[in-house]
Amino acid sequence: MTGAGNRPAGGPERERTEAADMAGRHGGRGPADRVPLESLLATALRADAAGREDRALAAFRDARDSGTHQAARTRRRDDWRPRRPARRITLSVLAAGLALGGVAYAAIDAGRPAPGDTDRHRDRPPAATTPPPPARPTPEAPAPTSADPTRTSAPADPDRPAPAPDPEADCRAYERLPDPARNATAWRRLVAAAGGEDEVAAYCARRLTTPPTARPAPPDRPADPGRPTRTHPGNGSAQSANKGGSKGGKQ
Amino acid sequence: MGQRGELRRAPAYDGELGAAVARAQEGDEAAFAVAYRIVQPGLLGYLRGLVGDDAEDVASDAWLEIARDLGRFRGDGAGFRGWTATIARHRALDHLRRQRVRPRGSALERDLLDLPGPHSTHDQALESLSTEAALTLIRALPRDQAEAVLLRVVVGLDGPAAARVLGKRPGAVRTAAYRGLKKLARQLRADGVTDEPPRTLGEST
Repeated sequence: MTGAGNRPAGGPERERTEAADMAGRHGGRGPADRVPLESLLATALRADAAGREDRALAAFRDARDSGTHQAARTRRRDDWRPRRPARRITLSVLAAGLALGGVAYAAIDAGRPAPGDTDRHRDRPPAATTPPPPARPTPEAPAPTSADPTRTSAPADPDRPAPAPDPEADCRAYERLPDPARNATAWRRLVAAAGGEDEVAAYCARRLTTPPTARPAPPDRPADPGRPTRTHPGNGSAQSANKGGSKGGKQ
Repeated sequence: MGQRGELRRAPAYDGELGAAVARAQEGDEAAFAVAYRIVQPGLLGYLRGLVGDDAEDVASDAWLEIARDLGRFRGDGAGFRGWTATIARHRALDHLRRQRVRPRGSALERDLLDLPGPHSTHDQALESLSTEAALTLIRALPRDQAEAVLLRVVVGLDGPAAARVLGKRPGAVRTAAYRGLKKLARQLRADGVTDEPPRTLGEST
Protein backbone atom coordinates (compact mmCIF):
# COMPACT_ATOMS: atom_id res chain seq x y z
CA MET A 1 0.00 0.00 0.00
CA THR A 2 2.69 2.38 0.94
CA GLY A 3 4.61 1.45 -2.13
CA ALA A 4 8.22 0.77 -2.77
CA GLY A 5 9.32 4.36 -2.78
CA ASN A 6 8.75 4.96 0.90
CA ARG A 7 12.24 4.47 2.07
CA PRO A 8 13.78 7.65 3.28
CA ALA A 9 16.89 6.17 1.77
CA GLY A 10 15.25 7.02 -1.50
CA GLY A 11 16.32 10.54 -0.88
CA PRO A 12 15.30 13.19 1.53
CA GLU A 13 15.27 15.66 -1.25
CA ARG A 14 12.74 13.66 -3.17
CA GLU A 15 10.52 13.30 -0.19
CA ARG A 16 10.53 16.97 0.47
CA THR A 17 9.69 17.99 -3.03
CA GLU A 18 6.94 15.46 -3.30
CA ALA A 19 5.37 16.63 -0.12
CA ALA A 20 5.64 20.17 -1.30
CA ASP A 21 4.29 19.24 -4.64
CA MET A 22 1.31 17.49 -3.18
CA ALA A 23 0.46 20.23 -0.80
CA GLY A 24 0.89 22.86 -3.43
CA ARG A 25 -1.73 21.61 -5.80
CA HIS A 26 -4.76 19.98 -4.48
CA GLY A 27 -6.28 19.07 -7.77
CA GLY A 28 -3.71 16.59 -8.87
CA ARG A 29 -4.26 12.94 -9.39
CA GLY A 30 -0.88 11.90 -10.53
CA PRO A 31 1.42 9.39 -8.92
CA ALA A 32 3.34 12.22 -7.35
CA ASP A 33 0.41 12.68 -5.02
CA ARG A 34 0.97 9.30 -3.51
CA VAL A 35 3.97 10.36 -1.63
CA PRO A 36 5.48 8.13 0.97
CA LEU A 37 4.89 10.62 3.71
CA GLU A 38 1.18 10.77 3.08
CA SER A 39 0.89 7.06 2.81
CA LEU A 40 2.80 6.59 6.02
CA LEU A 41 0.58 8.99 7.88
CA ALA A 42 -2.63 7.69 6.44
CA THR A 43 -1.74 4.09 7.07
CA ALA A 44 -0.61 4.77 10.60
CA LEU A 45 -3.55 6.89 11.64
CA ARG A 46 -6.34 5.16 9.82
CA ALA A 47 -5.56 1.75 11.19
CA ASP A 48 -7.47 0.08 13.97
CA ALA A 49 -10.76 1.85 13.88
CA ALA A 50 -13.62 -0.42 14.71
CA GLY A 51 -15.15 2.01 17.15
CA ARG A 52 -18.64 1.66 18.51
CA GLU A 53 -20.55 0.78 15.48
CA ASP A 54 -23.39 -0.74 17.46
CA ARG A 55 -24.03 2.52 19.22
CA ALA A 56 -24.10 4.42 15.95
CA LEU A 57 -26.46 1.90 14.42
CA ALA A 58 -28.78 2.10 17.39
CA ALA A 59 -28.88 5.85 17.05
CA PHE A 60 -29.60 5.44 13.37
CA ARG A 61 -32.54 3.15 14.06
CA ASP A 62 -33.93 5.47 16.69
CA ALA A 63 -33.78 8.45 14.39
CA ARG A 64 -35.22 6.54 11.48
CA ASP A 65 -38.05 4.97 13.40
CA SER A 66 -39.02 8.17 15.12
CA GLY A 67 -39.23 9.96 11.81
CA THR A 68 -36.34 12.27 12.63
CA HIS A 69 -34.73 11.62 9.30
CA GLN A 70 -37.82 12.46 7.36
CA ALA A 71 -38.61 15.58 9.31
CA ALA A 72 -35.11 16.94 9.16
CA ARG A 73 -34.52 20.07 7.19
CA THR A 74 -31.27 20.64 5.46
CA ARG A 75 -29.37 23.55 6.83
CA ARG A 76 -26.70 25.31 4.91
CA ARG A 77 -23.99 23.38 6.67
CA ASP A 78 -25.61 20.10 5.71
CA ASP A 79 -25.51 20.79 2.02
CA TRP A 80 -22.29 19.44 0.60
CA ARG A 81 -23.38 19.07 -2.96
CA PRO A 82 -20.74 20.34 -5.30
CA ARG A 83 -22.19 23.51 -6.64
CA ARG A 84 -19.55 26.13 -6.66
CA PRO A 85 -19.40 26.31 -10.44
CA ALA A 86 -23.14 26.64 -10.58
CA ARG A 87 -23.05 29.48 -8.12
CA ARG A 88 -20.45 31.28 -10.11
CA ILE A 89 -22.48 30.93 -13.25
CA THR A 90 -25.59 32.09 -11.48
CA LEU A 91 -23.86 35.16 -10.22
CA SER A 92 -22.58 36.12 -13.61
CA VAL A 93 -25.94 35.38 -15.11
CA LEU A 94 -27.52 37.50 -12.47
CA ALA A 95 -25.19 40.38 -13.08
CA ALA A 96 -25.56 40.19 -16.81
CA GLY A 97 -29.27 39.86 -16.45
CA LEU A 98 -29.50 42.93 -14.33
CA ALA A 99 -27.40 44.90 -16.71
CA LEU A 100 -28.90 43.76 -19.98
CA GLY A 101 -32.37 42.75 -19.04
CA GLY A 102 -33.04 45.69 -16.83
CA VAL A 103 -34.24 47.92 -19.56
CA ALA A 104 -36.63 45.42 -20.97
CA TYR A 105 -37.89 44.54 -17.55
CA ALA A 106 -38.51 48.12 -16.64
CA ALA A 107 -40.34 48.63 -19.88
CA ILE A 108 -42.56 45.69 -19.17
CA ASP A 109 -43.25 46.78 -15.66
CA ALA A 110 -44.26 50.16 -16.83
CA GLY A 111 -46.93 48.73 -19.03
CA ARG A 112 -48.31 46.44 -16.35
CA PRO A 113 -51.06 47.30 -13.96
CA ALA A 114 -49.81 47.03 -10.43
CA PRO A 115 -52.78 45.12 -9.03
CA GLY A 116 -52.30 42.38 -11.53
CA ASP A 117 -48.81 41.90 -10.30
CA THR A 118 -49.60 41.28 -6.68
CA ASP A 119 -52.59 39.29 -7.60
CA ARG A 120 -50.49 37.03 -9.63
CA HIS A 121 -48.04 36.06 -6.94
CA ARG A 122 -49.92 36.13 -3.71
CA ASP A 123 -53.56 35.63 -4.25
CA ARG A 124 -53.65 32.65 -6.41
CA PRO A 125 -56.25 30.36 -4.90
CA PRO A 126 -55.09 26.86 -4.27
CA ALA A 127 -58.31 25.45 -5.61
CA ALA A 128 -58.11 23.19 -8.60
CA THR A 129 -60.59 25.32 -10.42
CA THR A 130 -58.15 28.12 -10.72
CA PRO A 131 -59.52 30.40 -13.33
CA PRO A 132 -57.12 31.69 -15.86
CA PRO A 133 -55.22 34.29 -13.92
CA PRO A 134 -55.74 37.83 -14.90
CA ALA A 135 -54.40 37.98 -18.36
CA ARG A 136 -51.16 39.76 -18.55
CA PRO A 137 -51.88 43.02 -20.14
CA THR A 138 -51.34 43.14 -23.82
CA PRO A 139 -48.58 40.82 -24.71
CA GLU A 140 -47.73 43.01 -27.62
CA ALA A 141 -46.87 45.91 -25.47
CA PRO A 142 -43.57 44.87 -23.98
CA ALA A 143 -41.83 43.58 -27.01
CA PRO A 144 -42.17 46.57 -29.21
CA THR A 145 -41.19 48.94 -26.44
CA SER A 146 -37.62 47.96 -26.69
CA ALA A 147 -36.44 49.55 -29.85
CA ASP A 148 -34.56 46.52 -30.97
CA PRO A 149 -36.10 43.33 -29.70
CA THR A 150 -33.47 41.05 -31.10
CA ARG A 151 -30.77 42.91 -29.32
CA THR A 152 -32.31 42.68 -25.92
CA SER A 153 -33.65 39.24 -26.32
CA ALA A 154 -30.44 37.45 -27.03
CA PRO A 155 -28.77 38.30 -23.75
CA ALA A 156 -31.96 38.70 -21.81
CA ASP A 157 -33.24 35.23 -22.36
CA PRO A 158 -30.73 33.26 -20.32
CA ASP A 159 -29.76 36.26 -18.26
CA ARG A 160 -33.05 37.27 -16.91
CA PRO A 161 -32.88 38.56 -13.35
CA ALA A 162 -32.81 35.50 -11.18
CA PRO A 163 -35.54 35.97 -8.59
CA ALA A 164 -38.25 35.18 -11.03
CA PRO A 165 -41.63 35.57 -9.44
CA ASP A 166 -42.98 33.00 -11.76
CA PRO A 167 -45.07 30.15 -10.38
CA GLU A 168 -44.12 27.70 -13.07
CA ALA A 169 -40.47 28.36 -12.66
CA ASP A 170 -40.72 28.09 -8.90
CA CYS A 171 -42.62 24.87 -9.20
CA ARG A 172 -40.11 23.32 -11.53
CA ALA A 173 -37.33 24.32 -9.20
CA TYR A 174 -39.30 22.90 -6.32
CA GLU A 175 -39.64 19.59 -8.07
CA ARG A 176 -36.09 19.38 -9.11
CA LEU A 177 -34.34 20.53 -6.00
CA PRO A 178 -34.47 18.87 -2.64
CA ASP A 179 -34.72 20.58 0.66
CA PRO A 180 -32.16 23.33 0.53
CA ALA A 181 -34.18 25.21 -2.00
CA ARG A 182 -37.00 25.35 0.46
CA ASN A 183 -35.29 27.95 2.53
CA ALA A 184 -35.03 30.14 -0.46
CA THR A 185 -37.10 33.01 -1.62
CA ALA A 186 -38.67 30.91 -4.32
CA TRP A 187 -39.88 28.45 -1.73
CA ARG A 188 -41.44 31.12 0.43
CA ARG A 189 -43.08 32.53 -2.63
CA LEU A 190 -44.53 29.17 -3.47
CA VAL A 191 -45.84 28.66 0.03
CA ALA A 192 -47.53 32.03 -0.13
CA ALA A 193 -48.99 31.32 -3.52
CA ALA A 194 -50.17 27.85 -2.59
CA GLY A 195 -51.59 28.84 0.75
CA GLY A 196 -49.39 26.71 2.94
CA GLU A 197 -46.43 24.38 2.90
CA ASP A 198 -48.62 21.35 2.61
CA GLU A 199 -50.36 22.75 -0.40
CA VAL A 200 -47.27 23.34 -2.46
CA ALA A 201 -47.05 19.92 -4.01
CA ALA A 202 -50.65 19.98 -5.15
CA TYR A 203 -50.37 23.56 -6.22
CA CYS A 204 -47.36 22.86 -8.35
CA ALA A 205 -48.91 19.77 -9.84
CA ARG A 206 -51.76 21.94 -10.99
CA ARG A 207 -49.59 24.73 -12.18
CA LEU A 208 -47.42 22.50 -14.25
CA THR A 209 -50.23 20.57 -15.87
CA THR A 210 -52.51 23.46 -16.55
CA PRO A 211 -52.82 23.85 -20.28
CA PRO A 212 -50.97 26.80 -21.70
CA THR A 213 -54.15 28.66 -22.44
CA ALA A 214 -55.13 28.67 -18.80
CA ARG A 215 -51.93 30.03 -17.39
CA PRO A 216 -50.45 33.39 -17.77
CA ALA A 217 -47.24 31.79 -18.88
CA PRO A 218 -44.19 33.84 -18.91
CA PRO A 219 -44.51 35.72 -22.13
CA ASP A 220 -44.45 38.83 -20.03
CA ARG A 221 -41.17 37.84 -18.58
CA PRO A 222 -38.28 39.83 -19.84
CA ALA A 223 -37.13 36.53 -21.18
CA ASP A 224 -39.37 37.10 -24.03
CA PRO A 225 -39.03 40.54 -25.40
CA GLY A 226 -37.53 39.00 -28.46
CA ARG A 227 -40.55 36.81 -28.93
CA PRO A 228 -43.10 39.12 -30.39
CA THR A 229 -45.84 36.56 -30.82
CA ARG A 230 -47.51 36.08 -27.49
CA THR A 231 -50.24 33.93 -28.82
CA HIS A 232 -48.32 30.76 -28.21
CA PRO A 233 -46.26 31.12 -25.09
CA GLY A 234 -46.16 27.36 -24.57
CA ASN A 235 -43.18 25.38 -23.66
CA GLY A 236 -40.33 27.42 -24.92
CA SER A 237 -40.92 30.38 -22.74
CA ALA A 238 -41.88 28.35 -19.74
CA GLN A 239 -38.65 26.51 -19.93
CA SER A 240 -36.54 29.55 -20.30
CA ALA A 241 -38.28 31.15 -17.40
CA ASN A 242 -37.69 28.04 -15.44
CA LYS A 243 -34.00 28.23 -16.03
CA GLY A 244 -33.69 31.46 -14.21
CA GLY A 245 -36.17 30.56 -11.56
CA SER A 246 -34.42 27.42 -10.46
CA LYS A 247 -31.15 29.18 -10.17
CA GLY A 248 -32.67 31.83 -8.08
CA GLY A 249 -34.22 29.22 -5.89
CA LYS A 250 -30.93 27.58 -5.21
CA GLN A 251 -29.41 30.51 -3.56
CA MET B 1 -14.17 17.41 -10.04
CA GLY B 2 -10.67 16.18 -10.36
CA GLN B 3 -9.93 17.02 -6.81
CA ARG B 4 -10.56 13.83 -4.99
CA GLY B 5 -7.56 11.98 -6.10
CA GLU B 6 -4.99 12.75 -3.49
CA LEU B 7 -5.58 9.66 -1.47
CA ARG B 8 -5.96 6.35 -3.16
CA ARG B 9 -8.68 5.08 -0.88
CA ALA B 10 -10.93 8.06 -0.96
CA PRO B 11 -11.87 8.07 -4.63
CA ALA B 12 -12.07 4.32 -4.68
CA TYR B 13 -14.68 4.37 -1.96
CA ASP B 14 -16.46 7.62 -2.61
CA GLY B 15 -18.84 6.13 -5.12
CA GLU B 16 -19.71 3.27 -2.83
CA LEU B 17 -19.97 5.67 0.08
CA GLY B 18 -22.32 7.98 -1.75
CA ALA B 19 -24.58 5.10 -2.69
CA ALA B 20 -24.56 3.77 0.86
CA VAL B 21 -25.44 7.17 2.28
CA ALA B 22 -28.30 7.53 -0.15
CA ARG B 23 -29.70 4.16 0.84
CA ALA B 24 -29.21 4.91 4.50
CA GLN B 25 -31.18 8.08 4.06
CA GLU B 26 -34.01 5.93 2.84
CA GLY B 27 -33.82 3.90 6.01
CA ASP B 28 -31.42 1.11 5.12
CA GLU B 29 -29.53 0.27 8.28
CA ALA B 30 -27.06 -2.05 6.57
CA ALA B 31 -26.15 0.77 4.22
CA PHE B 32 -25.54 3.04 7.17
CA ALA B 33 -23.18 0.41 8.57
CA VAL B 34 -21.33 0.40 5.26
CA ALA B 35 -20.97 4.16 5.37
CA TYR B 36 -19.78 3.93 8.94
CA ARG B 37 -17.07 1.46 8.10
CA ILE B 38 -15.84 3.51 5.19
CA VAL B 39 -15.75 6.79 7.07
CA GLN B 40 -14.83 5.80 10.58
CA PRO B 41 -11.11 5.03 10.05
CA GLY B 42 -10.32 8.45 8.66
CA LEU B 43 -12.59 10.18 11.12
CA LEU B 44 -10.98 8.43 14.04
CA GLY B 45 -7.52 9.23 12.75
CA TYR B 46 -8.45 12.88 12.52
CA LEU B 47 -9.86 12.84 16.03
CA ARG B 48 -6.79 11.13 17.38
CA GLY B 49 -4.81 14.04 16.12
CA LEU B 50 -7.17 16.43 17.84
CA VAL B 51 -7.97 14.79 21.15
CA GLY B 52 -5.60 11.85 21.47
CA ASP B 53 -6.80 9.00 23.60
CA ASP B 54 -10.31 10.38 23.84
CA ALA B 55 -10.80 10.04 20.12
CA GLU B 56 -12.95 6.93 20.44
CA ASP B 57 -15.33 8.65 22.81
CA VAL B 58 -15.55 11.75 20.71
CA ALA B 59 -16.02 9.72 17.55
CA SER B 60 -18.80 7.79 19.18
CA ASP B 61 -20.57 11.00 20.13
CA ALA B 62 -20.05 12.38 16.67
CA TRP B 63 -21.66 9.29 15.17
CA LEU B 64 -24.70 9.75 17.35
CA GLU B 65 -25.15 13.16 15.83
CA ILE B 66 -24.42 11.89 12.35
CA ALA B 67 -26.98 9.12 12.73
CA ARG B 68 -29.57 11.52 14.05
CA ASP B 69 -29.02 14.23 11.43
CA LEU B 70 -28.54 11.96 8.48
CA GLY B 71 -31.79 13.16 6.98
CA ARG B 72 -30.41 16.66 6.75
CA PHE B 73 -27.37 15.77 4.72
CA ARG B 74 -27.22 16.47 1.01
CA GLY B 75 -24.31 15.47 -1.13
CA ASP B 76 -22.23 12.62 -2.48
CA GLY B 77 -19.63 10.38 -0.90
CA ALA B 78 -16.94 13.04 -0.81
CA GLY B 79 -19.46 15.45 0.63
CA PHE B 80 -20.35 12.97 3.33
CA ARG B 81 -16.72 12.83 4.38
CA GLY B 82 -16.68 16.57 4.73
CA TRP B 83 -19.99 16.72 6.56
CA THR B 84 -19.01 14.06 9.04
CA ALA B 85 -15.60 15.60 9.57
CA THR B 86 -17.27 18.90 10.41
CA ILE B 87 -19.49 17.24 12.99
CA ALA B 88 -16.55 15.35 14.47
CA ARG B 89 -14.54 18.51 14.68
CA HIS B 90 -17.25 20.34 16.57
CA ARG B 91 -17.50 17.46 19.02
CA ALA B 92 -13.74 17.50 19.44
CA LEU B 93 -13.61 21.22 20.07
CA ASP B 94 -16.40 20.89 22.62
CA HIS B 95 -14.41 18.16 24.26
CA LEU B 96 -11.28 20.28 24.37
CA ARG B 97 -13.23 23.19 25.84
CA ARG B 98 -14.58 20.98 28.58
CA GLN B 99 -11.12 19.73 29.30
CA ARG B 100 -9.87 23.24 29.58
CA VAL B 101 -12.53 23.99 32.12
CA ARG B 102 -11.49 21.11 34.31
CA PRO B 103 -7.98 20.15 33.32
CA ARG B 104 -6.93 16.65 34.08
CA GLY B 105 -3.67 16.33 32.29
CA SER B 106 -4.65 16.70 28.72
CA ALA B 107 -4.19 13.98 26.18
CA LEU B 108 -1.64 16.15 24.54
CA GLU B 109 0.50 16.40 27.65
CA ARG B 110 0.37 12.68 28.14
CA ASP B 111 1.38 12.15 24.58
CA LEU B 112 4.30 14.43 24.91
CA LEU B 113 5.44 12.52 27.95
CA ASP B 114 5.24 9.36 25.91
CA LEU B 115 7.30 10.79 23.13
CA PRO B 116 9.21 7.99 21.55
CA GLY B 117 12.92 8.46 21.31
CA PRO B 118 14.19 9.91 18.09
CA HIS B 119 15.80 6.71 17.00
CA SER B 120 12.85 4.48 17.53
CA THR B 121 10.68 6.79 15.47
CA HIS B 122 13.26 6.96 12.78
CA ASP B 123 13.63 3.21 12.60
CA GLN B 124 9.93 2.76 12.25
CA ALA B 125 9.79 5.40 9.60
CA LEU B 126 11.95 3.28 7.38
CA GLU B 127 9.07 1.03 6.51
CA SER B 128 6.10 2.36 8.34
CA LEU B 129 5.03 4.66 11.08
CA SER B 130 3.36 3.41 14.18
CA THR B 131 0.17 5.14 15.11
CA GLU B 132 1.86 6.66 18.10
CA ALA B 133 4.79 7.94 16.12
CA ALA B 134 2.52 9.42 13.47
CA LEU B 135 0.47 11.11 16.14
CA THR B 136 3.56 12.48 17.76
CA LEU B 137 4.69 13.95 14.51
CA ILE B 138 1.34 15.42 13.65
CA ARG B 139 0.68 16.86 17.04
CA ALA B 140 4.03 18.55 17.13
CA LEU B 141 2.74 20.75 14.33
CA PRO B 142 0.88 23.97 14.90
CA ARG B 143 -2.76 23.14 15.05
CA ASP B 144 -3.78 24.72 11.77
CA GLN B 145 -1.12 22.71 9.99
CA ALA B 146 -1.93 19.54 11.87
CA GLU B 147 -5.61 19.80 11.03
CA ALA B 148 -4.98 20.62 7.41
CA VAL B 149 -2.70 17.62 7.04
CA LEU B 150 -5.10 15.32 8.86
CA LEU B 151 -8.09 16.35 6.82
CA ARG B 152 -6.27 16.05 3.55
CA VAL B 153 -4.26 12.93 4.18
CA VAL B 154 -6.15 10.94 6.76
CA VAL B 155 -9.76 11.87 6.13
CA GLY B 156 -9.14 12.16 2.41
CA LEU B 157 -10.77 15.52 1.77
CA ASP B 158 -9.85 17.71 -1.14
CA GLY B 159 -8.61 21.23 -0.55
CA PRO B 160 -11.92 23.08 -0.77
CA ALA B 161 -13.67 20.54 1.44
CA ALA B 162 -10.95 20.72 4.07
CA ALA B 163 -11.24 24.48 3.98
CA ARG B 164 -14.96 24.29 4.52
CA VAL B 165 -14.53 21.99 7.50
CA LEU B 166 -12.05 24.38 9.04
CA GLY B 167 -13.99 27.49 8.14
CA LYS B 168 -11.04 28.95 6.33
CA ARG B 169 -10.16 29.99 2.85
CA PRO B 170 -8.89 27.19 0.63
CA GLY B 171 -5.69 29.10 0.07
CA ALA B 172 -4.97 29.28 3.77
CA VAL B 173 -5.58 25.57 4.19
CA ARG B 174 -3.42 24.72 1.22
CA THR B 175 -0.62 26.74 2.70
CA ALA B 176 -1.04 25.13 6.09
CA ALA B 177 -1.01 21.63 4.59
CA TYR B 178 2.03 22.50 2.57
CA ARG B 179 3.94 23.77 5.57
CA GLY B 180 2.85 20.89 7.72
CA LEU B 181 3.88 18.24 5.24
CA LYS B 182 7.14 19.98 4.58
CA LYS B 183 7.92 20.07 8.25
CA LEU B 184 6.99 16.43 8.68
CA ALA B 185 9.15 15.43 5.77
CA ARG B 186 12.02 17.35 7.26
CA GLN B 187 11.59 15.64 10.57
CA LEU B 188 11.38 12.22 9.04
CA ARG B 189 14.48 12.58 7.00
CA ALA B 190 16.47 13.99 9.86
CA ASP B 191 18.21 11.79 12.34
CA GLY B 192 15.11 11.44 14.35
CA VAL B 193 11.74 12.85 14.85
CA THR B 194 12.91 15.67 17.05
CA ASP B 195 14.68 17.64 14.45
CA GLU B 196 13.27 20.60 16.22
CA PRO B 197 11.57 20.68 19.57
CA PRO B 198 7.95 19.67 19.36
CA ARG B 199 5.51 22.45 19.78
CA THR B 200 2.29 22.47 21.59
CA LEU B 201 -0.71 21.80 19.47
CA GLY B 202 -2.28 25.06 18.57
CA GLU B 203 0.81 27.14 18.85
CA SER B 204 1.36 29.11 15.74
CA THR B 205 4.54 29.40 13.79
